[in-house]
Order: sequence, then C-alpha cells, then structure tokens
Amino acid sequence: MIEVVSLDKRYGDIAALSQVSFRVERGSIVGFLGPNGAGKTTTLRILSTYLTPDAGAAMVAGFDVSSSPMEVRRRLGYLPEHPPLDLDATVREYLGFCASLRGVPRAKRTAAVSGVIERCGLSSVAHRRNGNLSKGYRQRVGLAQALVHDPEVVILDEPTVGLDPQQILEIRTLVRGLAGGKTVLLSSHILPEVAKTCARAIIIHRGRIAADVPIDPSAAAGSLEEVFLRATSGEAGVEARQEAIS
Amino acid sequence: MSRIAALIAREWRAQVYSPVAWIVWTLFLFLAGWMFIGVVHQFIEIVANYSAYAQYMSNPDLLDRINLNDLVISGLFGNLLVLFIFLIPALTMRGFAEERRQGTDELLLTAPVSPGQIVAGKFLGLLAVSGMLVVGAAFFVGVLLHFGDPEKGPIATGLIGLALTAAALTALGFAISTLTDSQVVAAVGAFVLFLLLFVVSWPAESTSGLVHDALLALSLPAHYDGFAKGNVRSTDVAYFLSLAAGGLFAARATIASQRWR
Repeated sequence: MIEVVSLDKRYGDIAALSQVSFRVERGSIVGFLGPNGAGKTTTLRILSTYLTPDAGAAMVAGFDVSSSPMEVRRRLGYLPEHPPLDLDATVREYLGFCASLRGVPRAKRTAAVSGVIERCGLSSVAHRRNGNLSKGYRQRVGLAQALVHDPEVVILDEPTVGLDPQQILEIRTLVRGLAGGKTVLLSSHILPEVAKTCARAIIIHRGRIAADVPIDPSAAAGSLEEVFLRATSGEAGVEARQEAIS
Repeated sequence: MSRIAALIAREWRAQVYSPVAWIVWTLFLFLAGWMFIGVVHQFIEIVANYSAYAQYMSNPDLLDRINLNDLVISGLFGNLLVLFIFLIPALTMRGFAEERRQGTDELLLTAPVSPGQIVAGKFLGLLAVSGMLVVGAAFFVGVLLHFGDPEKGPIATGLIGLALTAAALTALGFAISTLTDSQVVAAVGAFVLFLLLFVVSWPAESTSGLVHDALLALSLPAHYDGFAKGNVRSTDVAYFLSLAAGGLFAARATIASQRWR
C-alpha cells in the first residue's frame, strides 16, 4: 500500500534522508519511530506529496507521489505535524470545507462530517471555533480532517504529541479502530505509543532506516526500547534491522 | 469546480470572521464619504462663484462650462484610486501568508486540488471582499444620481475602471502574500508595489522617447484616469487585465514551486 524505495532528500548541505526504503502492507498499522530530527516528518511530507524527493521513489495506494500526486492525494488522509486548522472556523464548518476539498460529493458531505465528528469525539465542541479549542481537541479535529473523506491510506505525523495521558489513550483507541480497513503509518518518538498501537515499527535515525521490526503485542514496551536505543546509538543501527522483539 | 467554490466560500468566511475586512470597509466608507463631501462642497462653491460672475457679466452661458462630471465624479474617482492603494494591501495580506503561518498550506497542498485551483479560489474569494469597496463607491455615485443630473456613461465606465483596479491590485497583493509567511511583510510589499505603480510616471514629463512611453505604459493613474471621463481605451483595459493575470500567474508559480524546495 505504501512503498518507499531509496528515497533521498537534501536541504542545502544537510542530507535529511538517504536511501530510505520500506513497505507498509494494506490494512496494517505501522509506527515510524525516530529521535527528533531523524527525518520522520520529511519522509511523511514526501509521502503526502507536500515535498518531492531528490531521488528514489515512493508509491502510495499504487501511485507514484512524484508523477501522479493527484491520484495519491485522492486516496490519502494526512495529519501534518501541526494540525492544519482554520482557527476562525467552527469545527463543523472546517470539516465541511475539508470534505468538499477532498471531493466528498455534496449529497454525502453532511453525513461524512457528522460521522467523523462522532467518531473523533467532537460532538460537544462541533459548534466551537477551532481557535478556542484545547490542544487535545485541536489534535482530534486534525485527525477528523484526515478521516472525513474515508481514505485508503492514513498518514499521521506525531498524532499524540503534547497530549495528556487520557487524550493519548483516546487517540490510540481511535487509531487502532482503523486497523484492517485502512493502511496507517504514524510517526512518533514515544516508544510505548508505537508499541501499543502498531503491529510493526520502522526506526529511522539520521536519515537512514535503522531497524524494521515486528512488535509482539504480548511483549513489554521495554523490548522495543532496547531495539530503539541500539538502533539510534552509533553503528549498531544496521544490525538491528530485521531483529524481532521477543 | 465545487472545490474552487469551497475555496471561495472559505476565503470569504476567513475574511469576514476576521476584523480586518470590516475595518477596511468601514475606513473606506468613512474616507470616501469625507472625500465626497469635500468635492461636493467645492462644487457648490464653484457654482456660487460662477453664478455671481455670470450675473456680473450678464452672460448665463458661463454656467454651462461647469458640470458635475468633471468637477465631482472625476475628482471622486481619482481619490478612490488612492484609497485602494492604501486599503487593498490590508485585504490581501492574509492571502497565502496566513496559510503558511497557520500550517494550513500543508492541508491545501496535500488535497486533490491543483495550484491553479487554489489560486482561483482564493483570488475570487478575496475579490468578493475588495469588490465590496466598488459597491461602496457606487453608493456615493448613487447619491449624485439622486440629487443631481450627471451624465451616466462616465459613471458606469468609472465604476468599471474601479472594478478593474480592484481586480488587478487584489491579484498583485495576493501574489506578494505567497512570497512570505508574515502578513506585515505581505502588506508592506503590496503597498510599496502599488505606490510604485502610482508614482512611476512622475518623471515622465522630463523624459522623452522610449523611456517616456515606458513610464506612462506602467503607470496606474495614466491608465485609470480615462475611465472616470468616460473614455475607455482597449489598452487601458488590457493594462489592468495583464496586471491581474500576471499576479495570478506569479502566485500560481510560487505555490506550485513549494513542493520542490
């Protein structure tokens, strides 16, 4: 569903990504882990067609992000690092706009918006302005925006950053509910987050894939931490690749 | 098409939910009203002087030399151009700069809309807001029509000229707002550009030949003044349409290039 092959991206002299390759199978939830500045956001921005890669290729839902970005966008729900909210619009107005921007037919728009408001727990704030919402609600509106058009592929950039434990739990439940139907790639630097939500973790470090490991749901989060620390401390990174958590 | 409509509606909503549009509209009505009262008073004074003079010379034909169109309407439209130069930057400064600052550019640029559609939607939404200024101007002209008997042709062409100016300045102001993520920079940039178009022909009188022609060809007032006199030339219409098209084209190019940084 998502396939990334030898992606390179430079910002001036800094290599943000080099030779990044991975796959995400249809219907799975995969975590994209890495320390701050490792290249998570850059990778997700390329997958969302917001940026173009310097070299390499990325396919989302069967379409190349460089040559057919419109086809990718039609099938994609994307929550950027900062929820892209119109602060002066109400939640319902904003989601209505997002639905029409994403091409939800007029007849289905009201139902789609009401549905996503319900699913994301926004009913009590639907009439309030985005700008007056707390951070947790803004994050949920951002998530609702990524789901309102019922996309095949969902990409979430740090969906739980800055939230309190209760809110993290709610978002986690919501994301897990997407499993099976949708392909989800979510980034985070919070390990337990990924361990509890995802079936697999891809670890990126200094612009390179350092590990790609399945997560055993019965194992404690500690074992993923081990892999993460090994992968992101110096040269051991490459060896950690493919190593399963036991 | 429905996506462009959604973008237009969103832009309109963003503008009327923010105080800026209301402040600009109010300032425009106040300042245009002030200028209107000024030119009308001036007209009344001139009429009084001329009637005294005509009586003294026993020549009533002298009064035929003055009319509402030349003295009031032409003057009013000239003043409105200056107001546009000051006020339209405040309407266009949000443009794309605020999208960048809010991060909503990432929403637009990852949705299935082309840069051309984004520009079309945002421009038409902004044009609706700046178009309200032309409606405001029409109100003052309506007062003249109600109490006086001016020629209607030059009024119609004057309003067309004003509408073309609104379109051109809105497109240029929007283009400038795509270059920055600061509303202040966008407003100052647009204002400087508009002012430059306003004064560019000032040295024209002391030049000749190609330089003279080029300065006049770029000048905003040189192309605008004819409209208020009922004198519509195709080159003037082409001037405003080219400015608008140039602005929109530049805006589309900057937005499209965003992906390639």
